[in-house]
Amino acid sequence: MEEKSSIFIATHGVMTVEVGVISGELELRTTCDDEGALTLAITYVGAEEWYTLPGEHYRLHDPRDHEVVHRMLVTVLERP
Amino acid sequence: MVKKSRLFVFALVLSLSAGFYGTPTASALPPGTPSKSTAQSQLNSLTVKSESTMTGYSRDKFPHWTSQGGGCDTRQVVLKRDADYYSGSCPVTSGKWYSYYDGITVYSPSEIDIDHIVPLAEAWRSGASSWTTEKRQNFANDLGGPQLIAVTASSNRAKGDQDPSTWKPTRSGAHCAYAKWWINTKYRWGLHLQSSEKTALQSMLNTCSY
Repeated sequence: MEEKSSIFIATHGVMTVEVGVISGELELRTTCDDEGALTLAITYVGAEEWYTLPGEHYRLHDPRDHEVVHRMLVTVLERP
Repeated sequence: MVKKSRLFVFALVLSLSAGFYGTPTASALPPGTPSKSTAQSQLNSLTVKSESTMTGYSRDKFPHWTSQGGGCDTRQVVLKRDADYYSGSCPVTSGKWYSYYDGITVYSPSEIDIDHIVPLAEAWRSGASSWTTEKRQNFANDLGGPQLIAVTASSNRAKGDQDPSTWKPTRSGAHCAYAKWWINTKYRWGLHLQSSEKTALQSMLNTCSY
């Protein structure tokens, strides 16, 4: 199980399953297990609850791709 | 003569009812909407300040949809208040709702969310982080002013935690009232606002005719 975390700004927000769009300084956490199963979670920096990004059952053919997928997500979601 | 006046009354009733049904928004308006001039002076008096952090935030710190008696919670009360008509009581099972933000009419309560005009997360970063949980609970269940409104779940989700600088109702005819409700809520609860938010509110308030 590998976990990656990044902090970024999304002034216009990111859609979540639980609470709709959240905006501001956010933290994206992605985890990838040995089988390549990927989970995505997001929160406000410093907040006490996490939300889920839409979509599920993402599986990477090679867990080594976790790094690049994580970086792509952060780059796409960031909207300063 | 009698026939004539009867016809006249009939025509009058017809025109009145046509006028009534022509403005389905009337029943969707939350209480306490200020006039343009009142909203303007309230906006002028708000403190402009950058947002505080979200450290420590969770929705649990704003206990919402608390009991309002008679087996109804805050959500059900607003669902009834904002319906054109409904059946069932706590839970409301069906009815007709005109969503003020996007102009969409729906008939199932599952398609309706009760929106906090000033979102909980937005309140947290504009002053509510220092409140007691009791005060945050009162804010999250505020039926006394224009802070809660029944709108489509899709518009509520698209809005999320955003302030008027990044999200406005898709229906431009809703901008005036939306700005008034936002300003009045921040004013009554002593919340501050950012300069970008103030600019956006001012331009929306400028679209008001009264």
